[in-house]
Amino acid sequence: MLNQGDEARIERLPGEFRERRPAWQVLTSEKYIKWFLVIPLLVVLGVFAFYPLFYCLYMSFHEAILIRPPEFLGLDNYRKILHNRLFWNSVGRSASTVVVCVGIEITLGLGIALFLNREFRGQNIVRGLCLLPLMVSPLAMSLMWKYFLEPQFGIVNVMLSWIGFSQVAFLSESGVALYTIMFMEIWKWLPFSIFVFLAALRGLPKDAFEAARVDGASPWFTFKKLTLPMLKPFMMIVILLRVMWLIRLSDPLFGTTQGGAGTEVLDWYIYRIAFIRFDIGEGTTLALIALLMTIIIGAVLFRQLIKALGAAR
Amino acid sequence: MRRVIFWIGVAIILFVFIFPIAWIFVTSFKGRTDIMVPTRLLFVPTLENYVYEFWKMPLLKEMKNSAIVSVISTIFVMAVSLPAGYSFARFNTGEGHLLFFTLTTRMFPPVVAAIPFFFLFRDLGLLDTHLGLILLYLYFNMSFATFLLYGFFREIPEELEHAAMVDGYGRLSIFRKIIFPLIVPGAAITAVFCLIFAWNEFFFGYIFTRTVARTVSFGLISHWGSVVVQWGPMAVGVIFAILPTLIAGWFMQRFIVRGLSFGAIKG
Amino acid sequence: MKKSAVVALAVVMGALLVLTTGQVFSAQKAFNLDDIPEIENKTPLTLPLEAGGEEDTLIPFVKQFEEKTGIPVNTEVMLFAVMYGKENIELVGGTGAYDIVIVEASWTNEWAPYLFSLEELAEKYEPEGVEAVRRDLVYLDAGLRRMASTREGVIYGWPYECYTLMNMHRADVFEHPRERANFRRRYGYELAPAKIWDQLRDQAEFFTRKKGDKLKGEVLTHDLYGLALMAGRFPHVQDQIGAILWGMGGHWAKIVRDENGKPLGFRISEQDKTLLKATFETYVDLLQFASPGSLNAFWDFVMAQFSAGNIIIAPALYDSCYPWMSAWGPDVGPGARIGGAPTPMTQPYCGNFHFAVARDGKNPEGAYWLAKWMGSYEVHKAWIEAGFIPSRRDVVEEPMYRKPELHEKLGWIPTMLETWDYQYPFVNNYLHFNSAAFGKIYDFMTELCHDVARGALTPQEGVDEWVKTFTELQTKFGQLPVLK
Repeated sequence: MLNQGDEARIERLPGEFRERRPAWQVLTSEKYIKWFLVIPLLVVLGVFAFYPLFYCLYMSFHEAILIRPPEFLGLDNYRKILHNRLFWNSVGRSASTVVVCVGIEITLGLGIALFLNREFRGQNIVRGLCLLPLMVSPLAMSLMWKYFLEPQFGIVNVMLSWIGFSQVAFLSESGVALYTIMFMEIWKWLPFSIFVFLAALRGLPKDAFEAARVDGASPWFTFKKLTLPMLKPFMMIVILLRVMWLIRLSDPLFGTTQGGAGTEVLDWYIYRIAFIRFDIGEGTTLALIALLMTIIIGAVLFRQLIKALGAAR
Repeated sequence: MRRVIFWIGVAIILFVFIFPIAWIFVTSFKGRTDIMVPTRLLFVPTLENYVYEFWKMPLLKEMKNSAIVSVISTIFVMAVSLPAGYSFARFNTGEGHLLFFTLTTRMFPPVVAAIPFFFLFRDLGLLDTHLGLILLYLYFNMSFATFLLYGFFREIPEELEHAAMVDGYGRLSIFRKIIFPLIVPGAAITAVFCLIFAWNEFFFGYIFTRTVARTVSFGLISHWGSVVVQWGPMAVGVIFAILPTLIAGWFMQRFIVRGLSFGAIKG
Repeated sequence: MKKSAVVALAVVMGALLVLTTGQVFSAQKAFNLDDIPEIENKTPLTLPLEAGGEEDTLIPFVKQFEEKTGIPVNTEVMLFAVMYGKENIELVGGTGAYDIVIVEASWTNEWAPYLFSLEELAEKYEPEGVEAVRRDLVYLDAGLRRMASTREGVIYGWPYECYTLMNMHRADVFEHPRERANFRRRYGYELAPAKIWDQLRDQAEFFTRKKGDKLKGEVLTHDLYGLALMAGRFPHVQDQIGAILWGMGGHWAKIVRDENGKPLGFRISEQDKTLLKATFETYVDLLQFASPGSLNAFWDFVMAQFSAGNIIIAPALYDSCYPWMSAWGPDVGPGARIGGAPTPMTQPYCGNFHFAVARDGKNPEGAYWLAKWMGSYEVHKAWIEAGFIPSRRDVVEEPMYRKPELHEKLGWIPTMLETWDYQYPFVNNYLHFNSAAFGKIYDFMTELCHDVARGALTPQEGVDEWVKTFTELQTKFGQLPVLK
């Protein structure tokens, strides 16, 4: 880092002044400034991240049900949860949601981005319209789709019946409902990956592609050897953020199945234990386990992202 | 021929993305019986749902609350995330660990975080207040904002700062005079995202407010009774819950698209 | 004047006299807004109301209360599915956010520590003391009164909304000669609203038909199903399954009392387990004749299926759906008419909501009078006329609501009264109204019943899961033990 010039300036300051520098100057000095700048963040983290974390750690070792004082249990809550079929089912559902949604969003998003990555008349309007689902609130989205997917008077089923399909109970068949939720999520978040990729594609260096074209490389070869590696950091960003948000999926369930028809994903299960059953002991334990799982996944992805960013530089 | 195929493709994409939003607009003008017959395109439009939402339900107040909370919380988020993002980008503060820790706050199930906060806010008298919700949204948005700004700050060439230092600028004046003007577009994008996320947030709004500070999302879910679902008013509620963000999205689209480049496009 | 005319006149006069004095008499006794004494404490009240349009009916009365007493009232509309969690955290947290809470009957035991009992309040605030509240409570149905009370019989709230499951069916189809003849030929007995669940199964099977088959001699343009059920992951699924279980004489868990009537604990007997398994089997069996979509359904779906002419029977549906469904008659098809009867075996869940006064509220006096006003004759009268189901017998039994021309709207009244009377002796022993952990058990039951319905658990697994988790939850959250 560049502190030599600065050090030199400090050296030049009169001795007396240097010894009694006001706190403000100490804080903004070259040595401390990087920490000074994160003070607000540290304060917020201290209150909002550590407080619930310690609360949860404490409660997870207790039988805490609010109506009487917590009672020490040791590791019982953890043992119980790790042996609970409902917990593992919900983890499984969350995992498949993440895999399916991220997989489709990445491939379809890249596909559409490549498709739209050209100059055409009205391109701004088309792109602007494509962006809109991203703006819709998850709850509003779920209520909207609940109305469209109503087996009886939902527009989707009416349209299906025009082309000769029979009614599908999108939000009630246990094999179907989870995919419907995934579909809703993808509908909302596909623009996110489309636009990340569109922006990335536009930022690609033109000369490399020109050279490849001159060398007579096939489009597929160019895509595989040039485009994909260059897009990797952006894929990692999409994957990291979407994985983290999808693990925390619960808003769309409020307006639709409320965890029914085999759609109880991890966060809904936690919601039920913590907020309907008010079993604070088990709820906080669940939260910690979920947090740990997310952190592990997040850390792996984050490392990949940093690596990809480094490679791309 | 290729052009035709291209436009068919565009039409399909637009249909999938836009039709649901357009359809809910149409639905909001339908009366009770028409709502049950979705294909009836020729219907007598009625404003009854709008009248109901604005005169009988506190929709206007809810929108005002959501707006207050979103805007102020976004200001707070920027105050926290701008310096932090800069620090992470320029000095690699905490060798990435602190940045990652900041990210993990979004990994904590909000449902469970809500319980200790509920008791804390009760003791501080922050339940059902705008301030309480603002603080929660600060917590909620801070991690993503910091991450996004970190990306933008990284794109600002360090050489600029070197040059400024040689000219005798201090760190703070560099931040103010050189970095800040360059980060404005990135900060604007981040702010738009924070606004949208805060406006769209449901769970905290629902747990931490009652009547005074209740938000649009909270109002939305109150159309689903144990004996009646009010589809019409719900459609109006949905429209006004998404309209501000749609408008923001439309007018800020250039910025948003740039924001989603995570710094890939210069300038 | 002819003698007969005199007699007729006398009879009419007499009848009028009886009616008017009866009216005057009951009006004198019935509590009214004017009976609220001056309230010193003017601290504003907060009153939660259930979402979905019902607040439209109640808010004018809240306004009247504000005018009369000068106490401002804030209303907060909330969704039923999240009401328990929201109210619970405010009550347990002691925030004093709500002066009055909406209590579902089965949460009464659990929340009793956070609420004032009505007699406690009456003693403080009624000019005539406890007697006054006892006198007014007489007008409520006795069963519903018990449900608003703890297992010790202490009443906590003024019931307002009631919901009773009943059997709704297409009367025109049930009366059609050809259908009747076919049914008799196939099953050997007359087609009539099912008295037992086996009959319902026969009927469901009988009416499940494919597109192109005939109904009432006319060719069907779509598939027809015998019935529709509310098997989604909503509280309603356990209301339906409970109706079968109780009808069979089974219990989720039975309260055990000593010779003085003091509750000792709960027990799930072997017989109860067998009956619960049979109940699950019955329900799953019925689902094969239910219109697809039942697995995510609650009442709105059943209503929509009925009005689309897709089903013939809604075997256990809330009576408040009746007016809607009968209004849709013309949409269903020519001559379509709705018929009502008690659910098979006449022991469905028949719960209600009551308004109770929270202990940590800032104005219990105002809250008491507001809750009482919400439970008054006038409010319930408006309630029934707005299409909801009141809890006061004097309102439901009003002769003016029995007029034939009101049948479309209020035809559910006789069925409901029959159900109320029949089930009254059993209510005291139902788990719902005795366990202090029921808010938690309720949610688990919903999940369990839904899982059994969708086949994620076999009936036997469902029973085992019930015994295991019930024991766990009751031991952890309830006050009474589970006995072996």
